[in-house]
Amino acid sequence: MIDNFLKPETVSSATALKKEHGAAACYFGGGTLINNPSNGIDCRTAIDLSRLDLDRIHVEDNGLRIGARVTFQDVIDNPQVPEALKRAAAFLVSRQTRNMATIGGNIAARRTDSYLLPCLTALGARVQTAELGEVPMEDYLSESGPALILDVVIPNTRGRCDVRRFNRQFAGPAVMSAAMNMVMEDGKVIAAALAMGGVSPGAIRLSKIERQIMDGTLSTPEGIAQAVAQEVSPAADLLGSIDFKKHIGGILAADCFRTCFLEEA
Amino acid sequence: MKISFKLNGVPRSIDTEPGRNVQQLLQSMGQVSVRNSDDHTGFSGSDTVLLDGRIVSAGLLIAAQIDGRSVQTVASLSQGNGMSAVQSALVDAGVVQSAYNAPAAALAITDLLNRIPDPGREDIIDALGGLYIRDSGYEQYFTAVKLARQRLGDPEYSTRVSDEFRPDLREVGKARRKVDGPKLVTGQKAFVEDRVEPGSCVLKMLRSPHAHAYIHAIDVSAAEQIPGVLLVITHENCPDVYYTSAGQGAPEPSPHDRRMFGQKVRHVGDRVAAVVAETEEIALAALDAIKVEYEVLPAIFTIDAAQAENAPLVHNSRISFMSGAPDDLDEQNQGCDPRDGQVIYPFPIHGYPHRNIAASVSGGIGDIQTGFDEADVVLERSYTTKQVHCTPCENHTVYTKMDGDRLIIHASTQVPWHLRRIVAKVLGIRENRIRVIKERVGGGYGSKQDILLEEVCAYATWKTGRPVFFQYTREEEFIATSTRHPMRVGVKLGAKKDGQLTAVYMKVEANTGPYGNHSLTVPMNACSKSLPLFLCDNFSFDVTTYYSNIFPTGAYQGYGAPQGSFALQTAMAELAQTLHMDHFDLIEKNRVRQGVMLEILRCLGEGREGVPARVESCGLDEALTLGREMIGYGTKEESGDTDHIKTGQGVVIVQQGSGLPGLDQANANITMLSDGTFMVYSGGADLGTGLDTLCVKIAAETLCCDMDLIAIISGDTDTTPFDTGAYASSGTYFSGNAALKAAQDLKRQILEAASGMLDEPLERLTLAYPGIVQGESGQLSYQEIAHALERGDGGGQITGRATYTTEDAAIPYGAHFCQVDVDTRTGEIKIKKYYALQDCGTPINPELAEGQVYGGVLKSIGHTLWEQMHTDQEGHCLNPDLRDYGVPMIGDLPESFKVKLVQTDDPFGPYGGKSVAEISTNGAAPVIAIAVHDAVGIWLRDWPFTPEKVLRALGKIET
Repeated sequence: MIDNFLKPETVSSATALKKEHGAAACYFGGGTLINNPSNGIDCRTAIDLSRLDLDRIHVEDNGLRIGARVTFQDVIDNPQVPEALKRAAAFLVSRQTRNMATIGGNIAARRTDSYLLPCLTALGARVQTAELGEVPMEDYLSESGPALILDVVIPNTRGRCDVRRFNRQFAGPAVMSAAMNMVMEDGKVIAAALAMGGVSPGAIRLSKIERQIMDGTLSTPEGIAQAVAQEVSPAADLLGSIDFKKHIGGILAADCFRTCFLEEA
Repeated sequence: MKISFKLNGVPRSIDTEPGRNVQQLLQSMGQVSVRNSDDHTGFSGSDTVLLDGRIVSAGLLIAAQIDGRSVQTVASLSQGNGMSAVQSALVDAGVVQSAYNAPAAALAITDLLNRIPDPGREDIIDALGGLYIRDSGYEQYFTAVKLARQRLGDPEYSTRVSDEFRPDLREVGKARRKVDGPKLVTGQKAFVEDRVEPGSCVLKMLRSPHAHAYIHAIDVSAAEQIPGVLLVITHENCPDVYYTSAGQGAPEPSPHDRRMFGQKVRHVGDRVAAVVAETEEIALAALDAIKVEYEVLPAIFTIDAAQAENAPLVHNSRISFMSGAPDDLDEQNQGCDPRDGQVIYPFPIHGYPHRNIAASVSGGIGDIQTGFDEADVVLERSYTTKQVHCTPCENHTVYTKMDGDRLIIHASTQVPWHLRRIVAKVLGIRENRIRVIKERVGGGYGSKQDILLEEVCAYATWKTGRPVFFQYTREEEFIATSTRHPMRVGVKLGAKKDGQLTAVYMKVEANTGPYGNHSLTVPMNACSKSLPLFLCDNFSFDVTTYYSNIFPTGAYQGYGAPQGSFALQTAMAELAQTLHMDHFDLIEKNRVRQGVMLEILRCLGEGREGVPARVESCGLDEALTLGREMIGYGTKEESGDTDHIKTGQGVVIVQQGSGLPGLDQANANITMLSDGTFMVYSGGADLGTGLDTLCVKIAAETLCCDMDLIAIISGDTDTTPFDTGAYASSGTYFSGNAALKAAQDLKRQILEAASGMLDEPLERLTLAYPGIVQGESGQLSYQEIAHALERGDGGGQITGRATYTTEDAAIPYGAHFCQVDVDTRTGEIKIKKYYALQDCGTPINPELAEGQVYGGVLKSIGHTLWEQMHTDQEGHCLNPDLRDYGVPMIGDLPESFKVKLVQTDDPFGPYGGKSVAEISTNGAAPVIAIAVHDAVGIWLRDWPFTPEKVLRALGKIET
C-alpha cells in the first residue's frame, strides 16, 4: 500500500524525489495501474504528477503535444487528436477507467496488450521524458529505466493511419493488435509504418515488411497477411495458440493496409 | 494524512492512510452503494462514483487522490425517499433485478444524459461499457435510457415498457413497479454486507495450493499467538460431521461427502484453515503464519482420467448409507483410507466412490434396440462442454452474530431453510437456535443454492460469541463456489426416412469435481429437460457422474439442461442434414404438443420414481410460427459486403420445469392489518427476479385492491413460513401458488367477517376494487372490517394461510431463433439476431420476465462463445477474474435481440403462470451451433466456440 503520497511542484523536484526514494517510489498519474492489485505493483511512495501541468493537449509547429496526464477520455474528446489515436483510446471500453487512465501511464506500462502503443508507434510518436529528452517511441520502449514521461509528441504527418484490435469480446483482452500509417504519392507508397501489439511487451515495429510495402514487394492484403504471420512470434496463452495469433496478426495488418491503401489511393 | 473533499456536496475532512482504497473508504463513511465485485480491478463498475463530475471507479482510487475534490455517490441523485428520473426509469423498465450494480447504472446514465441529452444506441453502449450486469442482460437498458430522457422533461411521463397480458385482470400480466426497486436503485442498505456492525470480526480462509493432497501436518500455533486472532479452525478441531453443501430437499439426493475441514484437500482452493480475527489485516497475517505440510497426490481432472483403470481415488473414503445399503458394502470399504473421511449416502443413487463415481442412473421407456432396428437412419454424435461459472455480481457473503442464545445468519442465499437445517446439523444445535435472514441477493444463478461459507462463519460465531463477516474475493468465487458441470453427452438417434423418430438415446457423463453436491440431479436434468421435448416410443438414457479434482461444480441456472439441450438439439439438426430435411420440419414432425402424455417422465424423477404428466399448456405452436416470421427463417439476408462473411440461421426448442412437483413445498401467510391493508409473509426467496412483486401482485389481484395496500416480508426463517427455496424454477409456481392460496383463504375470511357485519349470506357478497366487500344491502371497506375484527368484541385479526404442494407439472416451453455471421478469415461468430420466444404461461411480471429471459440467453451466449475456466496441469485457475474469464458486457449483445412472451393459460399455475428464467439458458449453444453450420458447414460440438476452433474446423490454420 502507498503510505507516502508526494506532490512535487516541478519536474526537477519530481525526479529528485524519485532519486531519493529509489525503487520504492513510483511516478503516479491516474493510478489505474498502480492501484489495481492484480498488477502486483509494489509502490510505497507515490510521486504524484498532478501539479506538473502535464494534462494539456496543444498544437505545436512540429506536431501535437499531449501531456502525460491526459486521460484516455480527453484524447477521445479533443478535436486535435488524430482519429486513429482516438479509436485506439476507445478500445478501452470502460468510461470509468478512461476518465482515469492516462496516456503516460499506458506508455510506461509497456503492456503486451497496450491500447495505445501500436498506434503511437505507427504514428511516429516521440516521447518527451525528464531524463532522456525527446526520443522516438521505439527508443523509449527499449529503455528499461523508469523515465518520467512528460509529453507525447505526434508529428505532423500526411497520409492515413488505421488501427485494429482483435478481442474475442467487447471488454476482453486483445489477442493481437495492429496499426499502420501510410503515405502515398502518385499511386505509390512512399512511407509506411506498421506496428503490432500482442507479441511482446510494448509494441513492435515490422520494419522489414514496411520496406517491402514501400518497394512494392508486398502490395496486396493477402501478401501482407502472410508476411506478417511469418514475421511475428507471439506466445501461446489463454487467448490462443501461436498459429492462431500469427494468423490473426496477419489479418489485422492486412485490414490496416487495405484501409490505408484504399483511402490514400 | 488529512484529506478534505466534498462528499455529495458536503465538505468532509478525515485522517486516513494516503493509500487507502476509496471504495472501502466511502463504504466506511456510510456510502454502502459503492461496492466491490472485482477485487478493485476496475472491471465491473460496482464502485462507480462521480469525481469532479466524471464517472470513475472508486476501487481504482486511493484516498490521496480525492483530496480537494468532489465525490458524488448515488445518494446525490435523489432527495428523501424519492427517486430521480433516471432511477425511476431503471425500475420501471425492469432492469433493477438483483441490482447489485443498479446504483452504479443510475450514476452512469445520469452522466450520459448530462453529456448527451438524446443519446443513441452507441452512446448508451459507451456509457455502460464499464458496467457488468449478469441478471437481466443489457437490452432493456436502452428502454430505460429512453424512458429516463422523457422523464427528465416530464416527471410524470409513462409508457408501456413491455407487452401486457390478461386484459381480464387488473395487476397480473401488467408491468408494475417492482416492490423493492426503489430501495435497491437508490442504494439503501439491502445486501448482507450492509448489515455488518462496527467491531465485527473477519473470517479469512487458507486454501489448498494443491489439487489433491493429504494434510500431513498443520501447525497453527504461531497464528493463534497473533494478537487479535480469536479462532483458527482446521480439520483437527472442527465438528466431525459429514454433509452435502447442496441446498436440496432432505433427504438430499447428494452424497454427504464433505466435512467443514477435511484431512484431505480435493481441489486447488479447498479449505485448509479458517482464521477469525478482529480485522482483515490480522486475519491475513494469521493465514501467512499457518504452517502446512502436504502429502501431494496425483490429481485427475477429466472424465477419462476418472474412468481410467487404477485412477487415483478422489474419495477413498468409508462409504455408508442412511438407508438402502448394498449387500457388498463391507467389501466396498476394504482398503479405504481414514484420512479420506466418509461418504454417506442418504439413499442409494448408484454411487461408487471407489470407482470415482459419485452417482449414476439409467432408464427409459419402450425398447431402445427395437427402435434402432426399425430406423432407416441412425446417427450417433458426442458433444462436450467446459466448466463455466455463475459469476454473480455480489460475491458469496455471510454475516453471523449472536442474539442472546440464538445465532443470526444474514445470508445471500437461495435456500434459507436448507441453510438453517444444514448449519444446525453441522453445529449440532437445534433449528430453533438459528435465524436465517435472506437479504437481497446480488445474483445467485444457482451458486447460492449451496452452503459454501455460511456454516464456517456460523460456527465461528457460535464458538466465539462474536459477530463475524465473511466475504469471498472474486478469485475465491472462481475456485471455491460452484460451477456448471463439464459434460460429455453422447446422443444416438434413430429415425425413419420421413424424419419420424424411432429411438432416442442419451449417454451423459458428467464431471462433478471434488464433491458430489447435485451429482445425480444436475446430470440427470440433461436428459429430463431435453428428452420430453420429442415424442418417441423408445427412449433410453445412461447418466454417470465422476469425481475429479477440478473446481467444485453444482447448481447453475438451467441445472444440466443447457448441456443436454446442446447435445440433443444439435444432434436433431445433424439428423435433419443426414435426412436431407429442413431442421424446422424435423422439429415439427417430432415435437411435444399440448395434450400429450409424457410417459418418459416416469423414469425421470429426481431421486425418486417419476410421475407421467399430461402437457396441459404448450406455447410451441405460436412460438415457432411467430419466431419463424420474425427472423425470416429460410430467407436469411446475407450481411456480406465482403465475401468472407457467411450468414446462417438456426432454430431450437427448449423446455424446463416449474419447481419439483412431489418434492417442493411453499407456504405463505397474509394478514389483514388494522387499517385494512395487508402484510404478506412469504417463505419464497426473491433473488432479484421479482418474486416478492409477483406475490404482492397475486395478492392484490385476489383481494381486489391496489398493490400498495400490500407489503411483503420474505425469506426469513423466524418471521415467514417454510419454503424449499428458489431453485428448479420454483418461485412463480410454488411460492406464487402459496401466495395465491393464502390470499384466497384470507378472502374467504374477509367475506365471512363481512357476512356477519352486513348480516348477509356469504354467497351474496363479493370483493370489489378498490378493496371493499359489496353486498346487496351495502358495502364495507377493508378498514371497517379490520377495525371490527380487532375491537374488544371482535373475532380477532385474520390471516390467510396456505401450503402449496402438488404432483401437477406446469412445463414452460420456448423456441429460440438465431442468425449469425461467421467471419471465415478470423473465425469470429457475430450474433446478428437472437429471438427468444418463451411460453411462461401468463407472464405475471412481464417486464421482469423479459429481463430474466434476456439475462438467461446472454449468459448462455457467454458460455457458448466466450466463457471458460482455464486451469494449468496442476489444477490452478489461470483466469480467476471476470475480464479474462470472459463475461459478456453490453457491447457483446446480439445486434437484434428480442424476447417475445407467448401466453398460454396453464391450469395449475397461479393465474396461469409458469416459470421463465432457467429455460432461457437452454437455447443458445445448440441454436448458435446450428446457425454456424448453416453459414459455413461445420459442426461445432464443444463449447465454447472460439474463433480458433472455427478456423481449425475450416482448415484455415493447422489442426
